Amino acid sequence: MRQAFAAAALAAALSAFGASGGHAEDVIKIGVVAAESGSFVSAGNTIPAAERLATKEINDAGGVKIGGKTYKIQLEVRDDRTSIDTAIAAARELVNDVGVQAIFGTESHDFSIAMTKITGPAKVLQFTGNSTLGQFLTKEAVARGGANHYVFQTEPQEFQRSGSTAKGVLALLTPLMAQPPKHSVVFVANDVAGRYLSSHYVRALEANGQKVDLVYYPPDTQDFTALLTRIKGMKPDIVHFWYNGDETLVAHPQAVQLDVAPAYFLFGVDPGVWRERKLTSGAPLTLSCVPMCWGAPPTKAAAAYFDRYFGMGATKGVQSSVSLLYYDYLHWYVKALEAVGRLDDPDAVVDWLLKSKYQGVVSAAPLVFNDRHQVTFATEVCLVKPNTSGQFKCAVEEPPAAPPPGDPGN
Amino acid sequence: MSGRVSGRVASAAFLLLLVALPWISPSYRFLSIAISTGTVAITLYGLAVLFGQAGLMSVGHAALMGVGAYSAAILALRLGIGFWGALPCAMLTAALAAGLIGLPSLRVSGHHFVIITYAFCTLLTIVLTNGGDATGGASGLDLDPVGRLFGVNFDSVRNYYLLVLAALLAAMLATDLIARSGYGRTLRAIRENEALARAVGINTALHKLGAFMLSGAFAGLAGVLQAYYLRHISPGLYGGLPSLYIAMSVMLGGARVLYGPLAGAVIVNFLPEVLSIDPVDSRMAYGAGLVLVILLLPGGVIASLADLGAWAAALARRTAGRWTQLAQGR
Amino acid sequence: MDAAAMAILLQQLVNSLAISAIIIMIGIGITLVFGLTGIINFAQGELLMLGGVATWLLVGRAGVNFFAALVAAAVIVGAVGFLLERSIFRFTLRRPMNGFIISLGLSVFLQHFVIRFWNSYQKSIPDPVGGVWQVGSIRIAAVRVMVVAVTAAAVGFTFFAISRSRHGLALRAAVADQDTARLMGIPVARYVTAVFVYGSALAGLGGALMIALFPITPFVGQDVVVGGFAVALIGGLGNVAGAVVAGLILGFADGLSAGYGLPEWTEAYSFALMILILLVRPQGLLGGTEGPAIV
Repeated sequence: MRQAFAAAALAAALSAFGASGGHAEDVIKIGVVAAESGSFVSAGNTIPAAERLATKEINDAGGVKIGGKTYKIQLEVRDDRTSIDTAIAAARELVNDVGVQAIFGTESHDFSIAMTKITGPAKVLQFTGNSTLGQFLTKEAVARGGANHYVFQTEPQEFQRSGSTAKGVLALLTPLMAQPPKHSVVFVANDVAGRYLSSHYVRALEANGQKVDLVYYPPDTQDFTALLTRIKGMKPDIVHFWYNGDETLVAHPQAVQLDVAPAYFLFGVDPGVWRERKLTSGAPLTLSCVPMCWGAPPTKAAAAYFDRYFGMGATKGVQSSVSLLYYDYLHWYVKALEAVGRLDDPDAVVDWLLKSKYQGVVSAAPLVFNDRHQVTFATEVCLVKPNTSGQFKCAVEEPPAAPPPGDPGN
Repeated sequence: MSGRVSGRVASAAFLLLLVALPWISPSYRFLSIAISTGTVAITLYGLAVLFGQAGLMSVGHAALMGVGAYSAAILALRLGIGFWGALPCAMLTAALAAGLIGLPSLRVSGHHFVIITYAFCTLLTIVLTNGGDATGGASGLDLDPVGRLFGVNFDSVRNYYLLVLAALLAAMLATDLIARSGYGRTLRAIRENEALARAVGINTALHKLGAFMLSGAFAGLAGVLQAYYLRHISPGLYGGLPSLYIAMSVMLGGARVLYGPLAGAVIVNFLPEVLSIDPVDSRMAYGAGLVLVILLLPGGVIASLADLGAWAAALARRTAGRWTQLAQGR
Repeated sequence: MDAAAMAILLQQLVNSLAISAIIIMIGIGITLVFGLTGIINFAQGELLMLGGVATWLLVGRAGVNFFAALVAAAVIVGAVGFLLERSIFRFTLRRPMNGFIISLGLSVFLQHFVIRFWNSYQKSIPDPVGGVWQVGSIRIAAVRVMVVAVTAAAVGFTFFAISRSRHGLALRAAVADQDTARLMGIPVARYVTAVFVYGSALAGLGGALMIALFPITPFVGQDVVVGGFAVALIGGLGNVAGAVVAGLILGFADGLSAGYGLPEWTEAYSFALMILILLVRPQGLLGGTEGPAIV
């Protein structure tokens, strides 16, 4: 027993030490870096699950045809263990040892930024979700020769998501309120995503005629009552909880206890979660999803996707719908490889992606990259029928064409 | 061969192996993990001076690494000072930050000190997050590559590994010199009996503060090395949890022996990665391991291994002696 | 100040009582254990977390009544405290620094032990009391009143036990001077065990109360324990009355800084308060002990 363990440990150590060899000719290696263990697994499981589903579909349909040859996709999933050192080691391994064509992930802003320093010089494409990347994806940075030429953002520009969300929330809530809402308070975690997302959302609400106050809460807060009482003193018509679904689900009941506002909006809480946890609200309440709700899929294609996704055993969580982005992008990327017809020309793949349109599940209109490697798609917003946990009225809001006044448009 | 000589040979062989590592073609993953382990180990040597010599425990050393890392990034951003200029500056700022924490807490007691160092981690995270453009806010700061020096390109992973290794060896050497010096003796005198040390005229408050600042300089150095390896830093890297693991690592390995901190870093940062042990399992194992080490091997793993070695050597000598006696008897 | 602003201020004071209650529950254990043994028990936060998880298992999985679970959580965590003291901490009494380091290891072990068996997601139970009272323009959640009432009862009992009973007198003697207490025939070792068990039981109770208020994760102890330390330092290490006073002050300070200060600096205010008190009154507000003489 002990010998067996020692042998296994030695084998593992050796495999970690030596570069993994064995270049099979007929596979395309695609890397995924995400948290599969450690403290934040709930966020991480979505990316690997989505890419496993997409890979299975592509391979079952015969694989990838390039230059008269057929390749299977070999997914190389690396667990970042919720640690930046591990994420960096994983990126080094995938890029330099394994030799992947592209990397999908991570869901963490810091990890993704640090990984771009490895993928960029090696000309490995990196598809990563966080819209916070917008501040790094400048026109100069994504131009050929720029630091982020090979980085693609899988979420839309934040002014677009904020714009469609603000419009949808106000449109759904206003008919249920005694007076049209004029004053909104945005309540958001004081961290990188919270700061970035709220800066755009405040502008979007203002563009829709709201007077807006912004209140940050420290990450990992449990007792929100002090800050919520302060917000109550501001007499808001709507309190908008951004962006962390888990923390929002802690804060919102406390707001209801304190009767902070006549109406609420919870960003990133899927109607599916609301239903599964049997939550209810007396006050008018809207929910939104990134980008579509698995609890109320707006299209047949989306419903079918979520059936397949959960059918593979994926967890039904606050973040599950994010998986859709990664699913579409792997399909799109494979199309690009087939169109370019070779595996050794990442620049041509980037060029093709920038010229192409892709009809995915995530959007009714085909996806297109803009000149800063970002896409555009709509956001689904749902109204919860008061005092129910399973009845929703949902709307898919299209994003505004241009950023509102005061928004830099990144 | 006496124990001492064989020990020297073993450690020379070990150091040689560390230096030669990049040439026996390890994977990039392996080198990358080795680099992160090495930077943590440098911090652990600083903590070893503080705890092993002066007997003070800090649970805020990750925050001091953060002070070093941010100093380097801000120097690069505002003044265009690159890696080599940032090294001494960051060591200085980390030492000053340590002085600032130590000043109110060390004059009270070691207990206050422990708690304040831990609270400092939280405070630093808040300050960095709310620092606006000065600290890059919650998003953090980017760093340019280290670049070339004397024709050596430190952007390659192999050369960066050698750079970290050189810093680590310098940290080990410095720790050893401090322990052997009169200053080390003074610190140990304070550790063993503070009242007595004060009675013989040692300014204990000053020396405790000095030891903490010195140990902060090590953390600052490690912070710069880590920052330039990741090339993107943010407040979340330097909170309370990483500080706790740093404190645990130094105790696991042992703070009073030369290879103790390195062993601690390897046990906590290197082995679970290389052996792909589940992080939850490995953390349960450290937690339980730390309890057992303190109860059963209070000197840490390395000191106990050395004791075991000495015991085995003594046993071997005795057995050999007996055989000789037997042989002569015949 | 107009009526609306007054109502908001009163609401803030009412809010802060519940969080004070949790901090006091953990702070008493920290300060008592320190006073008697000189050990800073970092794992006190994880003992609170265990109390919360035990309540979650009992209420959420086994369908036990919350108040039965509350008592059970205190008993279970008290038993854990007994095991820890008997098997581990009693060997570190001569070197409290070792006790502190061991508590670091225990804290990491307990967190990941819970994650290993019951994952790292949020855990919550339904509101055990339910209902919100409207008093004037102030809203008072019944569950918060319950939390404050249980804490007040526990604090009252602790004071009574320490100041009125024979055991309390012996305990105070042991905190003041262990050697003399031993010479006077006080079984100090037994009091060490008792204090560990009692401190753990209070933490378990605190955990049960906490999960009644908010969902918790296995990492919740890390956030709470800092408050517990602050309370112990501000009140004076080893001083139970000091811990209670400091808990109330810290709760109010938290509520007022979040309510009227810059919200993004909320967590920094209590830290600043701690440093300030350390500079002005290093021995704590009500005076404390330096720990036992054997340190």
